[in-house]
Amino acid sequence: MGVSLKGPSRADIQLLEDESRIPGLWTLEKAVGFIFKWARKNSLWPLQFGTACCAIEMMATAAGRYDIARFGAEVFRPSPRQADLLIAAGTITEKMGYALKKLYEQMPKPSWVIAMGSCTIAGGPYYYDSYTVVKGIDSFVPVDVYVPGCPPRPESLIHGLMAIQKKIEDEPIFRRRRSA
Amino acid sequence: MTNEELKTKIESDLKDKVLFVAVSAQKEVLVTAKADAYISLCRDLRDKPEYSYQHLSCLTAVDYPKENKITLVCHLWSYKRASQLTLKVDLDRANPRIPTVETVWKSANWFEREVYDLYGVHFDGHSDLRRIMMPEDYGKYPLRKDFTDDGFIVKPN
Repeated sequence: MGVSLKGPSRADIQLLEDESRIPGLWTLEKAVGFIFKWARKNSLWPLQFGTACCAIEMMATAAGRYDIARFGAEVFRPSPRQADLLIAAGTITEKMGYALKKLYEQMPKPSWVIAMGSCTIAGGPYYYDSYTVVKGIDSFVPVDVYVPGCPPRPESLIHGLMAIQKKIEDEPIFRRRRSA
Repeated sequence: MTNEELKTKIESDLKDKVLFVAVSAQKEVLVTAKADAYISLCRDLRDKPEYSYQHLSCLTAVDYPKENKITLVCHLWSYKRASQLTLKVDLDRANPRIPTVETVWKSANWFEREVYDLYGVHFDGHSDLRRIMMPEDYGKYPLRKDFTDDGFIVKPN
């Protein structure tokens, strides 16, 4: 591996990555973690939780043209007990917030949360003069990825999903999860 | 029957139950009822064949803090005569209280729950007067003009 002042070249990075893929060089935790993470990130089961117009984009993402099945996340579950990805798609009012928190707490851990759209991120167009809309769901559930837009296009949601997959790869398999 | 005719008819026939009758710029008949004759006026408007307003299409309220009143607004519709009528009642803002019209039009149930939820008007005799949209322990009336709350951010001009 050549050393240069410019830092590692692309070929060097590739070499490092290739080395790390040789199973003999791995620790047990790394080998187990690899399998766990591979399984987790390619079989994210989202909870079917659409509360407003973002849900339409979420449906479009699940349908044939954008096809979220390419990322293994096509199994939208109607029950939180079978889901490990909460896509909060749509405006969350105070009353719905209780339900959202309850659903999040019913999901088996580890679980991940995508805040999709302006409303769930910060209240969106209902920030001013609204007596019901929660100004960001991160005040009561821990959010992993924020997908901005009003509503975000399916590509954005898929990008958010890929960010979740990257996050699963990067974090340790144990020691999850912080509370809000 | 034109709206002008309807106006004169209501003014003459039901004069002890209404405060005044007007025809608005949108050619709607506006009737302001006396609060104590509200129910019997509603019954007359529903049952008398010359009015026959069988359908309550909307019941809501408006808050007027300067005049210290909450106005209840009922939109009535007659399928028979294809005619709309707006019925208003002024209530005391400090203690808004009125008998329910659920006994006249069944559909008033949820409308009145909504008005109770958002304006705090109490409907005496209502079968199920609970909040319909806000959380049950909310304790405030958000569509009143003087409403404030911690999470309520007023848009700066």
